[in-house]
Amino acid sequence: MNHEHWDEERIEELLSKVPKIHDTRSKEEVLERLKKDGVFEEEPPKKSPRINLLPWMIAACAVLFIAILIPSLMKKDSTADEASTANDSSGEDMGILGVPDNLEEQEKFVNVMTVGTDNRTAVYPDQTEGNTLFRIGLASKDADSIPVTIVIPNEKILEDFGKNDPSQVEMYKVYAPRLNEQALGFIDYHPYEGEITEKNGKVIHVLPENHPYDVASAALSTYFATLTDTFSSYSEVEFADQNHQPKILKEVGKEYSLQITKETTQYSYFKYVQEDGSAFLAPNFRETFPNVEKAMEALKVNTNDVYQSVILPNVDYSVSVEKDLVKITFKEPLDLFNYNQVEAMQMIEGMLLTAAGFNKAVQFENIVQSEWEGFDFSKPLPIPVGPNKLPYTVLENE
Amino acid sequence: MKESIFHRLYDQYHQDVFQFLVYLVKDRSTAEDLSHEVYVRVLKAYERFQGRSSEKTWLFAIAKNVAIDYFRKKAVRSSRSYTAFDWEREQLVSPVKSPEAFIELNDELRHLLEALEKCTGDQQLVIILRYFQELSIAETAAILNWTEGKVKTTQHRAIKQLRELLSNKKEANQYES
Repeated sequence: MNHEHWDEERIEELLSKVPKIHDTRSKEEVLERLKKDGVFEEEPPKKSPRINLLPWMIAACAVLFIAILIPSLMKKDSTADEASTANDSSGEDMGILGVPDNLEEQEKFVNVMTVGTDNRTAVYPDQTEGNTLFRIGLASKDADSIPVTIVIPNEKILEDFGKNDPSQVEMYKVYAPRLNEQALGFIDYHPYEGEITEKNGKVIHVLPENHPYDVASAALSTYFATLTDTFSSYSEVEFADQNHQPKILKEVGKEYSLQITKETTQYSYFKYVQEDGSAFLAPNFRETFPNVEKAMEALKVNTNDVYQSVILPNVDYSVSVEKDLVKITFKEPLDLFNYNQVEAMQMIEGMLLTAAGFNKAVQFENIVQSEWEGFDFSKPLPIPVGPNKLPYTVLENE
Repeated sequence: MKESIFHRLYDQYHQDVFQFLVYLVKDRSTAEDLSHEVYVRVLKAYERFQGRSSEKTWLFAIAKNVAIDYFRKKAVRSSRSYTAFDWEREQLVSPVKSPEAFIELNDELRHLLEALEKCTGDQQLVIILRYFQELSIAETAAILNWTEGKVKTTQHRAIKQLRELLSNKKEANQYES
């Protein structure tokens, strides 16, 4: 055998002669394994509509809000210290839910769990093609607003408005009355009492005499939060009476307009879980941050009992920022398949949404998977254009 | 719907993708597991496949990612001090030293494949895609998400590296004898 002369031509010639290797399994065998893993099963519905929920009054929310939030705030320092413990215990919950201890088994478990589902919940730029986004803040039972993004096909927009580019106010007037908020587990809050109009890039809310939006401070918080989430593309919301004069809100006590600026919407995103287990990603009681580093660090700490940190148990990371890119470097290699896939996605999307508030993309470092759930971790991930995607069908629930 | 997609993809590409995986991981059983994972990912993402690349290069790109994830996981498990796995620079070391398909090869080819395993991950992938799978430079570039220039350079360096490894082996053998 000629070993004497290893020139490049000879190497290339030999490389072209490597034997073909075939899979000796039959096609049926390969197919059967995929069937066994549920690959061909239909996706389960994501939410189960709820019925006959009693409408909650705003004042009742105020009581609940105070009962939950005030003790949480009073023990803010201690909860911060306990944050890692809280994370640890959620890790234990996974065990209770029946996730196997063995690593190999866990991988099989999560693979089976994730087959056929898309765990992404935000809206990404590639999903806007052919669609128009309708944003609205839904009133939660914890006296806050949960921002959702309803993806409406352009042909429906054309059908509903006779044009392609309705404003958010125009969409609000048509779609807010159609939205069955209770079916989604929220308070029946929209449409607002009075009239919503727009002028010179500002929203004007003409309020009736006895409107419910300032009966308590929590009612006002809900009101401002829903306005901010619903009219995020406007710079300001003005309040007027029936005579179109400035309306003074009792809880504010003076003439006031709600500013919607970049600075007032730079949040960190936490998890909000409803009674039926539906989870949404939302700002943590509207806490804002001056820069994305602080917002990303804030994600690690639970500060109240309503919003939970999305950071996975025992996971830590550092944050650095370069121009429009936030680099999140996990301190230990992060194998996403070692976790509940829904919770892993909540962490990734919580970070993406947090960065999006600062108009920045995120590049992750030290994740074991190169691609996962449609994300390519070898490059910066796309900036989500809205949280909590809902289909157009939620507007057909009346 | 998904099942008919499976049948079509299997008929057109299964043996090619399987061979690609076997030559990367050097183990038939692992390649079977990974080809299963390729189908899981492909069928899950098929709706998002928008035809911006060819179906063939898209499928191979997913197979490449599945294989790299396998090597990454193995690296994490085998080393607590592991910080980052750079597949382009590191070797893709398989757990099996003598895959059954290599046993019947002549010495020359066997030495060549053993030398290939000592090349970096990016070099191995380029050699497998270009020579074993007989893919074009453009197809290889699309699969690896590289420029065609980078494919050419990496291929050239890989051949050079193989020549050096094989020449050194020859010298070592002569020295031993």
